[in-house]
Amino acid sequence: MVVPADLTARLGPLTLPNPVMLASGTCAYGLEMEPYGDLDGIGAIVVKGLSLERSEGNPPPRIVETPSGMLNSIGLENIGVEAFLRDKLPLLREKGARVIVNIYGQTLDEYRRLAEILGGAEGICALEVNISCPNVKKGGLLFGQDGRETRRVVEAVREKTARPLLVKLTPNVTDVGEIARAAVDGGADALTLINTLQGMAVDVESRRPALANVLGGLSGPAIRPVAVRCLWQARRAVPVPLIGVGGIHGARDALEFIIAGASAVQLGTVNFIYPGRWREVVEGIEGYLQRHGMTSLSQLVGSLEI
Amino acid sequence: MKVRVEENRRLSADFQRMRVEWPGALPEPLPGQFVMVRTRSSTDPLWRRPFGVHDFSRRGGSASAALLYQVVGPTTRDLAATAAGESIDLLGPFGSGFDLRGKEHWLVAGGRGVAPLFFLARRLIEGVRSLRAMIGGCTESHVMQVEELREIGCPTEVATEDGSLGRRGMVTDLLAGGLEGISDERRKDIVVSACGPEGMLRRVSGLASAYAVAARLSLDTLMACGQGYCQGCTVKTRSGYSLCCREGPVFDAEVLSW
Repeated sequence: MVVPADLTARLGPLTLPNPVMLASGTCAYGLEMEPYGDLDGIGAIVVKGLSLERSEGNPPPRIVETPSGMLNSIGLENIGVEAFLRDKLPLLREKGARVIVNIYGQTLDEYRRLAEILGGAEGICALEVNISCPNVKKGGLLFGQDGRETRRVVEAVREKTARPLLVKLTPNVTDVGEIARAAVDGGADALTLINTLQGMAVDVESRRPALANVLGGLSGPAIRPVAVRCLWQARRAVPVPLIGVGGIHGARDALEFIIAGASAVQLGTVNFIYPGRWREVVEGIEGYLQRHGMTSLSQLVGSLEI
Repeated sequence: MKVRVEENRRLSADFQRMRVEWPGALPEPLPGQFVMVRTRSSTDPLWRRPFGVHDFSRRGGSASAALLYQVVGPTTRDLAATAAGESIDLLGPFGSGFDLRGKEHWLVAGGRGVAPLFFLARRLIEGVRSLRAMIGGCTESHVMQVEELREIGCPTEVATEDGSLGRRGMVTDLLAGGLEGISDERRKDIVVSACGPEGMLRRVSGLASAYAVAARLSLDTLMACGQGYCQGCTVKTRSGYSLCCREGPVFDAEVLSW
């Protein structure tokens, strides 16, 4: 008889029934994913990065396909935090979705105000602090590439909310471990690795950048080895739970991150191509645990042997 | 979702038409809507590709949809090599449709832009609305479905840039001639629906504005998902950015900010 495995994901103060989340910026506000499966079956949905005010994002063209990947320079287009709380969150709660809100500010004060506003909202299970978007001029990546700035942002948010706090890190640094330590020192409960890799593509016929923003963020299977590397380096640097993201296309890819030390994973670019893939990844992880005689996910997390 | 290919026919050197079964689980498509298609399980190419629904029909309890495509890249090469009985991976239908209201409809297509307009013509003919089509291409082998349009009762004119079929020139020359030759009163009743290269659509938009006729344009942008997740397919409108996949792909010419 096959015993069902316990897929509970433990992320410090946050516990999820399974470790498969949808990454910010790849599932809109979550509700749009409903045609492909009940939202309460997803470990958690990390909604599109929110700013204080509505943001229009970058001019087109914003995306280009690359080998086993894509570049984007969406520029954090979003409806703003108040519209999210008014128009989206009540529906997400009705569907039983576990909602994590990704937040983005251009100044420390904006991060603080976002944390205050969201700290008082029912139906949000955690905040994910975005200090790693390569596609906005101010803030974003500038915070996440500097240890001191990283710590200041995380401290600012931490002061304003008792909610579980995830911090999403960039791979565009020399030492991921240093930034990971700074985020944990600032009060992060868990870290999400990685955001996109900065990249660029050129249209050779027009001799212009493929993206209007010139630079963009690379995602998709092409970045998976870099993501697994960053996750493993963070694993060695900090004791907090980690969430692996970057190029996961199926269960096997998710298992790489979990074995390297991730307590949960996020699916990103794959949602664009196979929007219901999260279910197969959950089932694939469970099948793997059963095949290997494990009764719970925690036995597999960080089980990498070197 | 895997759908079975019922027929895949070569129409010219680089155009083909594929008919696929339409599963009951999918909503019935409207003219102007599109599907997102994938042919491989590998991650290169990564994205699905959008195809405007070319035709849709029901027979008894089953339904089928047609895709008209030009072989231009890896996905369309794969499609061309897919045999009846095999399957392709399809999601949809997505996006807004063409406007079926209005007394008189003029359809203007450039090259593969005829794909969604044929479906529109069929629906408009069913509603017995006044209808004409203008089809253009660089050469004869790029002008598709002219006889099929005439067969369903849609008067169709043709222009080719090299003069190999129909009038020599651009399809927008046919539109300009048609609009010039009628009264202001009649123009008020006309809806122009167009699909084709951006340069052609800009010209259609300019003519529609100059002659004060309504125009609906089906745009083609890069799309990673086709359903609003990636927010990559932005087009500029007079009121800000819109997603081509959700608010479009069919837009009123007057809301676009070219």
